[in-house]
Order: sequence, then C-alpha cells, then structure tokens
Amino acid sequence: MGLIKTERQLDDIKIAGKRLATVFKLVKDLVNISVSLEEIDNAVAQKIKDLDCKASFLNYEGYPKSSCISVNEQVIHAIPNDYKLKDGDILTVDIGLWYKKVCVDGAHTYFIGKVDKRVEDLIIYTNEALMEGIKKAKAGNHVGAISQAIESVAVQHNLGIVRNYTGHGVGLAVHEKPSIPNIGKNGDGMILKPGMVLAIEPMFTLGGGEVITLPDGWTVVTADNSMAAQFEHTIIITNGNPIITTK
Amino acid sequence: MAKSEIRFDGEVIEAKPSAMFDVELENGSIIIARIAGKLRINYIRITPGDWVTVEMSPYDLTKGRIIKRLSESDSKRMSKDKRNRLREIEKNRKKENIEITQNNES
Repeated sequence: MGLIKTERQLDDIKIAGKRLATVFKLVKDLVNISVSLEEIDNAVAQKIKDLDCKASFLNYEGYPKSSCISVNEQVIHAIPNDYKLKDGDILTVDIGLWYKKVCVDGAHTYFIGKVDKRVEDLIIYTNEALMEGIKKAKAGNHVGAISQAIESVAVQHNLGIVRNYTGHGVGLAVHEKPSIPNIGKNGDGMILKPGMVLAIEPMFTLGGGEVITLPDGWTVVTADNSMAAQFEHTIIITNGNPIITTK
Repeated sequence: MAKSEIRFDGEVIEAKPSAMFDVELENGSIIIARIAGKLRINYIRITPGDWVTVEMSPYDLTKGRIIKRLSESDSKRMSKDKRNRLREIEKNRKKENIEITQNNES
C-alpha cells in the first residue's frame, strides 16, 4: 500500500477533506438537547450521499452505521442508537468517507447545554493536543514527535490518555501504516516523508486511560466510567507545514 | 475510526523454547514474542533473521505476539533501513569521539 501518495491522489484527498468538513458543519448545527444519535447518523449518511461520496465506516469490518457517536464515558466506536442527548452530555462524532478512490477520517467532540469547567477543559485540551501533534507532523520528524506532543498536553493538564487505540495512516484505505500512538518519544517510529497522509486522533479522559470493549464488539468505554473526548484531522505531510485537509 | 492495538515491525533475533522468539523492534528494544495461532495453523515458519509484525499491549511493552511475517521485499527494505540507522549512529559516535579528543587536546 503506497505510503507516499501521488499528486493526483493528494488532490483528491484535499477535496475529500473539504467534503468531510462540510459534513461536520451539518453535525455542529444538528447536535442539541433531545436529538437522537440515530437522527445524527441518518443526517450524516444522507449528506455524504448528497456530496457524491461513500461512508467509509459503513460495513467496514462489519460496522453497521455511517458514523461512530460516542457519548460521555464511551470513548470511540459507539454505534448510534435511539439515545436522546441531554443537558450536560458530551459526544464525539467520528466520520470517514470515500471520495473517488481516496478516503479521509475526522472526529469532533461537542458538549450539550451546560457542562463543568473540568469537562470543558477536557474538550479544549484534547483539541489542543491534536493541533500540537499536527505542528510536529513535518517531513524528517519521526512519528514519535507527534506522540510526544500529544502526550505532553495530557500530562500538563492531568488528563488520562487512551493507549490501546492509535491514529494511523489513511488515504487509500481506512487504516494504513504507520500507527500514531498517543504516547511516545521524539525518535520513535517511522520517519515522516512528504506525500504521506495521516489521521491523528488523540483520545483523553477525565480519569485513567484504561478502556474496555463492550459485548457488542465495538463500543469502547473507559474502565472507570470517566468522560472521554477525541479530535481527529486528516493531514498531508509536506516539506513545510502539514496541510489539514479536514478543515 | 481509531486503529486498535500497537503494532511494531522487528527482526527475529533468537528462537526460544515453546515457539517463543526474541524480536528486536525498530526502536532497538528486544521483546519476547509468541506466534499467533493463525501462523501456526497455516504452517508459517518463523526463523531468526525474519522480519515480522508484532502486536503488543501498551500495558506490557516487554511481550508481544507475532501476527505477520513480512514479505521478501519488505524484509530487504527493513534490513537496509536498519543498516543505515546503525551506520548513522556509528558515524555520530565517531564524530563525538573526535570532538571530545579535540577538546581534551586544547
């Protein structure tokens, strides 16, 4: 699987990223008290279709829906159901789509109504960790530089880090090499080269980093039931600053 | 969608009893790994010198599970990368030694 994408593939990935950003604009307007997760997923599925794209999660390794919507102590991969959002909930919406022969991946955490300051901080600093990680995603750096940047934001703000799941290469498949852990050191892992496409996705919690997979085989929850947040962008490595495609 | 587990590529250094192997990962650390059932069932042999993919739990970074033996071309590429890495480290070490000697002389 080509880790260095061709010019044409990168152009398509940039377009795909813009379309995914459009889907997230729709989600942002939609999330509100008493909206059900299924409603959000249906709207996402329809919007992806309207944009001439294909939902990349649907039927991926048997996943039944077009998006993962994880609420409160659910970290990732929660299957949207008829749960209605309440005041004080936080939810992470994770969406991937295929455009022509390329795919991109993105995630965003939202809060509903009023939440504690500590919960707000969780969301703000998980996003900050993503942006700090992206800053280190330059040609010549190792994957570990991204991991170290993400880890230091969590440590600085006393947040739990989920270690069992990682970011990953993306572009020609939903999951490609390399893995991008949320903890690490500067010299770890592959050296980044221009033309590589990465999905960086820090996952932080208000408690510890241990997670459990529920009997449905998909939903991942924190072992201590603490709230979790995640942000994700698909980026292109260049000789200069990385290009964030999903903005 | 996040990718699960942590996977590293490494070179098999030594075969141990009970189908366990010492594997040297790309970051230099040596772990002990067992063979995944899928490889056993399909009679895929692992020998020292092979390059493999190891799946590990982040809660115990000394143990792993060999889930894939890399192809000929991938193995050649990994060996070449490792030789280049070691050459770089040797070059840097020699450079440091020269600097230390020069500092001592002056």
